[in-house]
Amino acid sequence: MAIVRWWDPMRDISSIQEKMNQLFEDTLSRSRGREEGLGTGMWTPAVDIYENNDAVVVKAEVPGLTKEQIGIEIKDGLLTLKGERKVEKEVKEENYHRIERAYGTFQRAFSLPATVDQEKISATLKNGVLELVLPKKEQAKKKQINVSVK
Amino acid sequence: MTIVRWWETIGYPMGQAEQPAAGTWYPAVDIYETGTEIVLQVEVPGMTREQVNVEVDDGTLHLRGERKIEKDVKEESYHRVERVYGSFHRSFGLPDTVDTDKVRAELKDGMLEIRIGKREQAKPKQIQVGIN
Repeated sequence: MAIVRWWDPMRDISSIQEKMNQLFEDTLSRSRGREEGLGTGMWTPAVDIYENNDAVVVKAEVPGLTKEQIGIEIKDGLLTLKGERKVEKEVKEENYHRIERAYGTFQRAFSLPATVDQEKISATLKNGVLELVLPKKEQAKKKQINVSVK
Repeated sequence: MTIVRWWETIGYPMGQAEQPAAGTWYPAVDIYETGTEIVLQVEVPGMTREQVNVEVDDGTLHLRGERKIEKDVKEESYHRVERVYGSFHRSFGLPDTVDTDKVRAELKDGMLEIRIGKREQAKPKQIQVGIN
């Protein structure tokens, strides 16, 4: 951050850290076509998945994205989440002091268990979290069976 | 998980003007400057106004918050937990050019945007210089 200047021993570490990141990213993502500067490569939204008696719930962190910037697709038992976050156009790159957020496209796919009713999947976007509710098929829901012991 | 994240989790602060942060996670922050303001954009997905706190104290901007894991979901029901829970605290030293009375914060779509106005004298002025 250029607006405050004082000597900080962490700066060297930060720069080593940046270089290491660069190295790792370049090595691991050569095929992604990473650009310099405001790198618009790929990013991965953090996802939580849990299950209750009625449904499987997927929650993905997509802060700052609107409905229009997110795509949800189900095909052959595969749930795909896609999207793109763009850098604000009206801000010049040189006016940035710090960029930690990730920009560019993301895509994540999850295979759906056979117990999920694919016709009844619903999605809501609230406070930057995309929540998908994948209801289970009736026969997959746990039923309470009383077994009498003789 | 990038190295940055990993590095942060073992307790190293990321930037030059930032003081060592405390907490279990660190929201990603972009900072940019316009002619009249300094703008911070902080990623706090899933958090409400009540869960985040913005404070200016002695020339330092403090961001604090806590995100709690859903109580009604049992731990064994989770198939995957990638989101980070717990508290965070990040602080940034503000330059003298800002007016700490002019701080506005807005929370929308999981983004906390903080706008800090610059002092009048710090704004760029166009001065016409006559040539003899």
